[in-house]
Amino acid sequence: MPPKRTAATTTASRSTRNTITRTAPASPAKKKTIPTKPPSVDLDESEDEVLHKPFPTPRKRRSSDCTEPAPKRQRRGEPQETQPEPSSARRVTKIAVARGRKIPEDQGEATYIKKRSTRGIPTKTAELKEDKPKRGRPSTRKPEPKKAGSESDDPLQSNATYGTTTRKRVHSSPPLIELDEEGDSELTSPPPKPPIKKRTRKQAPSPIPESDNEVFTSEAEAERPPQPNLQELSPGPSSYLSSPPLTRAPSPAVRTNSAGGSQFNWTPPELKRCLDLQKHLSLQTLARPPHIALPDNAPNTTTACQLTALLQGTIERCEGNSCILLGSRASGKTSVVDSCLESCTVKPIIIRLSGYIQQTDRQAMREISAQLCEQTGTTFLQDDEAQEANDEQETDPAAPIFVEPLTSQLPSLISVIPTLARPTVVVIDAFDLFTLHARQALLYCLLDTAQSIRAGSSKSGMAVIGLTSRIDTISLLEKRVKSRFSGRVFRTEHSDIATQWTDVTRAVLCPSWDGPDDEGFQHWSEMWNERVEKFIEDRSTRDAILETYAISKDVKVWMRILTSILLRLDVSHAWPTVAMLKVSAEAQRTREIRPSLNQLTYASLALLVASKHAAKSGYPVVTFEMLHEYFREQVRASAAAPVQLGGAGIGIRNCSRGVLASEFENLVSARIFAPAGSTVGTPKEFVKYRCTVDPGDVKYAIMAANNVPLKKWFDKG
Amino acid sequence: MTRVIHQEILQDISLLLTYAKLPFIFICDPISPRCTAQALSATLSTLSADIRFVSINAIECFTAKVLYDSVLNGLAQWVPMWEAGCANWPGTEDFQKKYSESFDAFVHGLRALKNANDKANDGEGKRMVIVVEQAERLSSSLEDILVPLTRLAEIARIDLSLVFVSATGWTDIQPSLGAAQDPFLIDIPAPSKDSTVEYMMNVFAECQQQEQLNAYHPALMPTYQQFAVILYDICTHFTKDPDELVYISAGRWPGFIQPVLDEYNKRAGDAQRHPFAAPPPETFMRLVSFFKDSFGAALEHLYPRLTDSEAWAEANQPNEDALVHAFPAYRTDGSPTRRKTAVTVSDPAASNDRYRELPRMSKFVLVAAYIASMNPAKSDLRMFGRGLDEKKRKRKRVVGNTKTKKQSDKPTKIPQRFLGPAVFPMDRMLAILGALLEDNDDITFQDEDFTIPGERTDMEVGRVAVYTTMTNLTSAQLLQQTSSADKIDGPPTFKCGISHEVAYRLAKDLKIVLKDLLWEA
Repeated sequence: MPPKRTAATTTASRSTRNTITRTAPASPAKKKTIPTKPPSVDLDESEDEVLHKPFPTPRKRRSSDCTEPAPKRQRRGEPQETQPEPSSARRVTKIAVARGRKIPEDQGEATYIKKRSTRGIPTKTAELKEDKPKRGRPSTRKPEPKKAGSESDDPLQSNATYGTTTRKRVHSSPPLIELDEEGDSELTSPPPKPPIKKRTRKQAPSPIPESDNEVFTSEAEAERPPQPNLQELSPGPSSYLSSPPLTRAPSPAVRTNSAGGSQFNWTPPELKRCLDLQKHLSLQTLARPPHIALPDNAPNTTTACQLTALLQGTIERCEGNSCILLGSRASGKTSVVDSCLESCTVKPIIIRLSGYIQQTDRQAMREISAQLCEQTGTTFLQDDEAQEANDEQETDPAAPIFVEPLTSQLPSLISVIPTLARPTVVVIDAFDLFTLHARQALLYCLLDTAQSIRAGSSKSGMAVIGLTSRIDTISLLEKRVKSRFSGRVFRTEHSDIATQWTDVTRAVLCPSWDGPDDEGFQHWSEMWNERVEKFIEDRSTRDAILETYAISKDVKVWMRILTSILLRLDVSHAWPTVAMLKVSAEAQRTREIRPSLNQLTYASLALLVASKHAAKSGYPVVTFEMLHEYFREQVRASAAAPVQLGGAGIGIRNCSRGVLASEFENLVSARIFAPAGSTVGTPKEFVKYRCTVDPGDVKYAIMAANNVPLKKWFDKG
Repeated sequence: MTRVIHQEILQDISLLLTYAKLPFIFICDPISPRCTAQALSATLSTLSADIRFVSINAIECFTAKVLYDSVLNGLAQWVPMWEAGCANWPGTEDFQKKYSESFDAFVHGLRALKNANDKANDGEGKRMVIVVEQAERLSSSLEDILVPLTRLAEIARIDLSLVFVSATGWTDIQPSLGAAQDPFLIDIPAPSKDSTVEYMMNVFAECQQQEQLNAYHPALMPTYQQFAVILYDICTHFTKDPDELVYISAGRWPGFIQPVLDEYNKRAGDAQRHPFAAPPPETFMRLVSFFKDSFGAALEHLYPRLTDSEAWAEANQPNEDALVHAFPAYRTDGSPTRRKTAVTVSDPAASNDRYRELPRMSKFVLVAAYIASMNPAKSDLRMFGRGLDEKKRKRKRVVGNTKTKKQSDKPTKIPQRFLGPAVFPMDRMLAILGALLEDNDDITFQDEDFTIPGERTDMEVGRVAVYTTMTNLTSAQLLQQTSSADKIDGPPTFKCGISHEVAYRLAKDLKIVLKDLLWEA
């Protein structure tokens, strides 16, 4: 018969350790003992998943988890081979993670328990109960081979007991749990030294991450001092984060060491050190994101080739060229230009303008003169007065002297550009905004100068490169300007790089470590890489990448999501998980309109409810006086029939006008109430506002605040 | 001791600034942005080895030039001195110019600063971080530079981070057309009870004075913690801002603990033998029961800033009853004290009392102005019209028309009492003033020159003194002139500047039943 799940056993299973020591019970009573072993991290993904999922399902086997056939999993209903064990004797079977170690024969049952737990089945203890031999009936179960790909053999596994509000983790190296005959587990401190029966493992150890199936028992490890509670030793996750719990992956390195008899001991400080180092490395990688190699037929590659050819003509053949790079936001316009400029053999004079900064032609010309002065070291269009002023200053002739040209002389500055010793490249960001300037004078001067340069003349070359995301930019040009523009339009596009985003994710999360040799971090990094690989290959992660790519093709959005995931990692949540990804995506990509609505005070919520009733009465535009009137009426109606529950009134809590006015000011500053009329010369209580929050969101906020009177008022009428 | 709050989040931010080097971070804290900004500055100051930061307030930097100078002065650690003419950062020696003239000049200034920084550190200098508090103000005052400001690191081509701390979300101040760079968004949750109390304890520790026996004596720290918990429980329905709680605490705590200090002073002879200690729990409970009602009063007066905390604390000093209630040993007759709770002064500066000093005619003018502002002009004839029989017309209230009106597409008109005072011409107000004087001015004159009813009132209303009164009231902003002063055609228009409560109080002084004279009352 398959083990039957019950609620009680489910609850009991949450406190079960994955490193289990079974021993002959001294008494039939249920007993939990706290291990007194030295600290190590012992975390179980499956239990955490159980706690975060209403109906956890066993993990599916993935191809990445193993490369060799995994042992067949014991199915429910199948007869299980069991070994006879003394029913009255309390057994303590210690399970730890190791690879290449022989498994004692008497660990079969514990192995089975552990395996079931790692598949996400919450009824670990229930199965423990079922597994236990009943009185007078010796158990004949044999150790069941474990399914490859499960994570129960983590050296770091969680032993979490989740209550309604608190969560406890006890970690040991290995943590110990004594199981009584009913299958209930109890943490023992110190654990009794059990008579351990060793059994050899029938299957050969797998050379690949198959250590989920492997357990070993060591008396030496059983005598380790108890591990302190990891949750107590290290601060929990940030209060604003809610991420799935820590999971631990098998590590080939750990297995290797274990086979050699020296398993790496993960103490919380060591784990925290490695995790912090990993976070720092990944965050540093985010500062310099990896370059995405584009295929040869990608639009940006073609554009780069064309632009390079154009720049070569300007630099090598002294041509006057002009072009526009047209592409949507974050499609790579600036990066294409920068890469082309860097590849130039001769470094040209680069003048960078932006339509967001230089909002008039005069500002643009000032900036041109300033950049020319910086890059050439000479001053242009310096009139006599300015020269005299410079002479009076008696500055160092070697130092660059910056003298802004007079406004009347600024337009002629453009014509000087071809006379410079080096070719000049003018990069104009937000090119479309320059078309809004009066008479498009700057564009006219630049394009006219570029057009007038003839190849082979003594003048230096000049190129005007416009960057814009507006597709009708050329039609915005005046006729006289358009006729001087070469008409070259190069396009940049987001290439189909959804697959490359996976590589970016891998590069960010698994950066290379070129620091000094660190045994602990080496073990950590192997485990980390394997967990990250599972995270990346998870279908939810791939869906999230595609979804993000569908919403915004900007890889920076995905990088922000990754950054958010990295910040959510801590000792108790050390691996990136799908749940973290979901929370991070909601925080960075698809945000709620008013995420802070649930944090509003009672007075603010009352004002929002009043505005809802005002809108229902036909007043979408409200004043504070009106809201206060609604609130006062409701307080009066509530006070007319005072009902008390447990000595406390359940009506609307009264609030003074001044406090309400202050809260209303806060709501206005938070843009929850937006001005709907003139605020000049009107007393502040009579300024018209319009509520920007949907009433449905207000209702959710009230329900989150669990305020019954406000909810009744909200539903009223 | 620094005021610690949101420590974990701020540690994450420091990671982002030192390792990820994000160019733009937006922190949204709708509850206590000021606390967060201060805590962020304190956190960044601990990273002075890696980061050079400046924290500016967008309210202070109301123009672009002020913002540029504030940023450059802060990053250059340049303090303008009065003796030196309050000059801003002059720039590097070999390249002097004004860096606050435009955004381009500002960018050049940042580059010059970076170069100087690198040169001073023989290589790569410290990262520069610009923190902008109250960043939502930038969208209104400095909208033009908001887009380039968000792309500052890209434009200036230097390693720089910009951090906005705002009470609003990024979408509320985000420039249109998607021109601005998207930030890394961080939401600050409301501080928990424990962190709020811890914050208040930090403030208490800052106020400690070892030598003096006052309300912030170190021995009173445990008592203050319990006080802070109770204050939080009472005020959390109305405000969660730790600074506001600290402000309310500053008003109530000195009076709350004063009986304990008085009791210690009374037994001053034993002071040498018994050093000052925190009151026992039963004494604290007695104090709480005595002062519990005054917590709400402190909230109602200090949170809207009807008065300042020091003045409120001064006005609400406990009397002898508090000492007797807290320490039963001081009861003279052994009977319970008469008063069980503290009496709070409602409003030290009673706002309505200052209108009592106004002249009688000024009060009439204000009441007439209030009626003119609140009543529609078409109702004047009904409210104040008189027939030949000298009988005042009775007000005919329009009660529910039986005929169904057509539903108009226009939005429903908001009642005037919710919209505040409306504009009225001076002539209309004088006419209402005359009607008020005729009906409510009980001063009678025996003058045979005025035989027509109301003739004398008309004369009184036309006196220069009435116009002078209006001028005085306008200068006091009790009347607001809405027409320009140099307008010569038509009567000047005004708007009433007093509130409903003040108008009722003035009408009551004049024995006018204001409710009967208001159309929408």
